[in-house]
Amino acid sequence: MRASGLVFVWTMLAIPIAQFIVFWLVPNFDSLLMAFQNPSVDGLTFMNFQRFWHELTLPNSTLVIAIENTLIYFAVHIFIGMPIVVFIAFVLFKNVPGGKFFRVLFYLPSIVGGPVTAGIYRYLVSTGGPVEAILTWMHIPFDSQLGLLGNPETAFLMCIIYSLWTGVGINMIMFYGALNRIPKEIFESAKMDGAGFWRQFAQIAVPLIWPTITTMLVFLMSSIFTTYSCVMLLCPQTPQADMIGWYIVRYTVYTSNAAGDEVLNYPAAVGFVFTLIGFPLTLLVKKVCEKISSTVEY
Amino acid sequence: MTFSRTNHQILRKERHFEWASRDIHEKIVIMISFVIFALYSATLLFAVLWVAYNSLKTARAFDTNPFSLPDITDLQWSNYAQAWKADVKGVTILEAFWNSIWMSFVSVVLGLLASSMTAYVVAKYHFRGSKIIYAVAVFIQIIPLVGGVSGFYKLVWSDLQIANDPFLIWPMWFGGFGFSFLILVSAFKSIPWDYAESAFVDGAGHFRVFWQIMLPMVRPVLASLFIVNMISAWSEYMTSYLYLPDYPTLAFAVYELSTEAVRVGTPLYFAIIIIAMLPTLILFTVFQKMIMENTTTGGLKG
Repeated sequence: MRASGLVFVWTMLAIPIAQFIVFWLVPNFDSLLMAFQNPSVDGLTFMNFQRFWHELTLPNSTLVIAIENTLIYFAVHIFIGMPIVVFIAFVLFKNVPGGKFFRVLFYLPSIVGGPVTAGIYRYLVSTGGPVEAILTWMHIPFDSQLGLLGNPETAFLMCIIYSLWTGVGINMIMFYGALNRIPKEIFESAKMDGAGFWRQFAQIAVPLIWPTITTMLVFLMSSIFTTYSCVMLLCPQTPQADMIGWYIVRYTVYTSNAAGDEVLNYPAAVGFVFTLIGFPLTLLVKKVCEKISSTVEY
Repeated sequence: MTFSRTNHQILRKERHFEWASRDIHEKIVIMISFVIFALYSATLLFAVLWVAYNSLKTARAFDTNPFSLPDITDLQWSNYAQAWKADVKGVTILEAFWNSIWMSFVSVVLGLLASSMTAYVVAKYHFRGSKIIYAVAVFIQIIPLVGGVSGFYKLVWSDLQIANDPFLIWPMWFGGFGFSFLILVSAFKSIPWDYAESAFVDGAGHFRVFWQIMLPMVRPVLASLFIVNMISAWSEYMTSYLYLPDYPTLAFAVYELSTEAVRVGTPLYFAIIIIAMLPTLILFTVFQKMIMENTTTGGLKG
């Protein structure tokens, strides 16, 4: 390439790369460094990790609750949410009556965004709302003093239900799109060979859209310790409904507002620990998914 | 995917999936699914309608019976007039609406500008480092970095001191290696280089070729990225929460008020929710086909 071309290339790249260094590389590297620093000592220290360990071993530790909730949330989404959405996409693909209407409507919650859906959901499940009316009609006790979100016992359950209720859209569109890219002849010939509905689903549809499923699973896994929107939007003050992602943001924002930068070290250390756990976990899921797809023959 | 091909595919599919040709299992599953889908849809539709019609009641009428339809002779349109003046941490909803408009517009335009620049050279020029840049961009999409928020918070508030400033914060949005970058790289790759070649012969410089020839050719991709990014930027609340607390967006206002809606009154809060979701609903209705297809193909490349 001529020199003028090279000059052009790096002129175009200079500002975005500088932006990337300042707004991505530096803060991430700084977080890593902060995890090993503490204003009370010079040099590097393991103090923040000692505090992490201490918080873990406390009785009724909020950190342990946050970890448990995170695992529950992701188990529900991976083993219940994801399969249901794959199946929904397949039924829509098979032309259920009103399919187009359903597709658009299921996608709507993702369009209007978290604050709006959470704002509405809050009222649906609060005292005097429709959910209380239905539960009372079904003779299920409802604590109208606290409401479902105010009650620490049920708060996190309500967060999970909210995330499932509003979370069908994007994955459904992905799987539906993937199904539509499968050549129709495959389903036709399978049908001729006598493959029924369930066999078409399990032995043709799922294996053929497995790459898309893998992608969505890997994205889900990589966000495991950074997901917090449902908790932040619905019950940010309830320790029993905490998640790791929110735990870190909460510590970053609340404590630093109160005491300046120095207390950012603890959330940075927590983040570091969960990066160390999350990274191999994501890779593992990716490897396992790819292994499964390589054993499928079609 | 072109328009005619999509139509063709749908036609073929409809011919193929005749109801009569389905086996009994399939008919049963489809019918049960239809009922479940209808129930789920009913919860979504009810939620929106319930909020919409209650936004036209007086606070007392809502407290008396939250399910009855509003008195048709006495619809409280004044709730909407008042909603604009409602206060969120010293800022009115009208101001928050304006914040949402400029913030989503500026952040999306800056992001697309930076991504077009980077994507163009990575897709169209062979130079040392272009493969690495692409690999890094893919890598940061899936790497699960958890603690970054602490470092970012420190950077924006104390190192750079650009937080809470509606102009100094702009560089934060000039990111050229995100999801839009990956989409635009493949868009630029699909455009033949011949056009640029002949422009170079006519004496055009690299920048002119980029700006006046190549960029207009990816206009459809840019347009759909613009719409999709605008919709997600409209419901952005973390930026206000973390970095621009004095400039709450409408989405952030909806979040803030959700915990203290008692103060403004429920019907008024519902009116604010309706105001907050109308722009995205309108965009979605107008560009629905484009948005759903973009999401689909986005997953292919992502």
